[in-house]
Amino acid sequence: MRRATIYDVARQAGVSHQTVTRFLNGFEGIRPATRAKVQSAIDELNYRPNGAARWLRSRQSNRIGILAHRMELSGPGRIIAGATTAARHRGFVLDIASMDGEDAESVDAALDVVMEHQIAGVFATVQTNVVLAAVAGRGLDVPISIDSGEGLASSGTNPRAHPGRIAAGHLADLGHRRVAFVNGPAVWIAAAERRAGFLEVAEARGLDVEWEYEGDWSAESGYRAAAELPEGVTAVGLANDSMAIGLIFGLAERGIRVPEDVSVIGMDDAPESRFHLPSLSTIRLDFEGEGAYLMNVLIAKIEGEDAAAVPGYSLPELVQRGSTAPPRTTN
Amino acid sequence: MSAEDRPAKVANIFDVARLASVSHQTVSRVLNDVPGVRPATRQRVEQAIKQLRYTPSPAARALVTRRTRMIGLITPGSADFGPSSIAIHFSEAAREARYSVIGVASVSADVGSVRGVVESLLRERVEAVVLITEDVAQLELVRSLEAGVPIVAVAAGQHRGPLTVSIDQYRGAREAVRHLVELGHRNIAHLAGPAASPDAIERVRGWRDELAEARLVATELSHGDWSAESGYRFGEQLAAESTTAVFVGNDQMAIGLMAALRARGLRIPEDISVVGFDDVPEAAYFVPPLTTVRQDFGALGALTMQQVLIALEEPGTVAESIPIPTRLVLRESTAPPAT
Repeated sequence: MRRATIYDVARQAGVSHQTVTRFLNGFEGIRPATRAKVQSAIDELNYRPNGAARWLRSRQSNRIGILAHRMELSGPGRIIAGATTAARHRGFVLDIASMDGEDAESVDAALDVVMEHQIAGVFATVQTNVVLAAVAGRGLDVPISIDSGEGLASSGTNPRAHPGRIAAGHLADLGHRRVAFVNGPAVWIAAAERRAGFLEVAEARGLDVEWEYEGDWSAESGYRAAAELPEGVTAVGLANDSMAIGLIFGLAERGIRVPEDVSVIGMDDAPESRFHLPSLSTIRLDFEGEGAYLMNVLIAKIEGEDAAAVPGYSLPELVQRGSTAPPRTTN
Repeated sequence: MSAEDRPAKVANIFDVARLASVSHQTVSRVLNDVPGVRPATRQRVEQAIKQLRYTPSPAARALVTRRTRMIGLITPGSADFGPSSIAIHFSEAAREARYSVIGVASVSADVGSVRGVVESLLRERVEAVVLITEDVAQLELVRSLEAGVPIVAVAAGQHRGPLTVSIDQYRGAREAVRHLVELGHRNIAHLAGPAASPDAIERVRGWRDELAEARLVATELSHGDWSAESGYRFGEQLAAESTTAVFVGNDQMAIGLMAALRARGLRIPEDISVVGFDDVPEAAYFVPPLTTVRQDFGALGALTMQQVLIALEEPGTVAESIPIPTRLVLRESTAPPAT
């Protein structure tokens, strides 16, 4: 996300950029109606002249505001752990604003807290559309690091769609045709993109996605999904490992065996996933590396270093274990 | 304790905006000397700033009020379930009391590094420091520093001080082991967390004392690193012919252990009973569902904040906090030993 420029203000207000400059320089000879238009454009875009931005950035501050949401979940927790450690290595401390990233008011309040302090930058693992909109709407005038997969753009595709694509590709390779997808909450960007990747490859490979379910990332929601999984589906992709663990447990209660009757693949590769019964097939995601990468990019921006020189992190990869197998031919 | 009975609240930018009847963006423009604010408006904002004795940066405000309403938080910098759960719940309790949390990860336990971590927080003018640590040496070190602000440690320990809060690891461990003893187990091994971890030390002590009370011998003790992987390694070499039950220091190691036992053809709980510690959200869906000890991290976060407030408002008061009790959650990984 880029900061609003004087040209954005001019366009929004429907005036020339010279008029905006005159306004900013305190020139009095501007008609009240024009003045009001420029003023409201500045407010809407949260435009800040560079001088003020420099003041706010305050080179002495070594504090980074961090917007934290659902840290107890494996993914966010590991991203923040990676980011926290990277910050410490560079001598930064974190101003932690915990929030409910699914609630706009809570996100706004957290941003208020962070912006009231003298901070050098903002780190946001933008996990939901709500957070993304709130951060964009603020037009923050300090460097900001947003989890958008930008650092892996060199891979040519959006890396956050990779997990879904790889999962669907794996199920297709095994010969499955009738599949299902269990997602996290749709408001989460990761959920939407994992699902989009899954559906895209499913269609390209001729898989029928016969059933979908929206969980809440918890094992319990995977367990609930299992109770409703329709007959005939031979493989299920899930947007994280916890839900996969719950689903497998629920299927066992229905007498459905994994992988003999139904294949199951998660996403995350939590450290314990390979020790489950059956050992969980999943997509390995380098959360710690992602957190460290995002933090290092932010610090590069703060310090005026080359953000492009920050080393990337590992791309998602398939980890095939015991929970996926070819469908039974008798099915 | 409510935030309302504290000394006069420090004015923030919104208070100024309200008093001057302008938006907080306008106040910000005045503070930052951004042109385009009408002189009359500017004057009104400046009047409000003066009246509320508002200063824009917490550091500058501190010079006036000596209050920054900021608390430093030192975390182990890992994503482990326990420490990160405590950090979340503490941050929430602090926010409810209208304090901000400045966090820093302690990446190493050596003296210089720990001192550096504490100093980086003091430079931010925190009013108190909360330490979540996985290392008793670090705990002692931080306590020995002349920080000049209260330090509250979240750590179990036999010698509790007024500035320590904890979950009752010792009693939690005793309850878990007692459950196994009552099922008839006589040979109960313990896979503990790292030897330096305050929580792990207390759980070992609980295991030992409960066995002693039952006149059983504490034989097999091993230390893992909290990871499922280390639980698996322990399970590969466990003396399964004599051991009938294992008390495991956390749920992650328990799942690794169960996988290793399965790989050796041993059934849980028929051949070996397993009890974990933590009650992670997935524990009910392990195969078999894990009997474990639930820790109330929400209560611990709130208690930590309470101790911070007591330390700030009534320094010198000895207010030893009582460790928060645990609860044994019985599921299907424990049974009487095979006869």
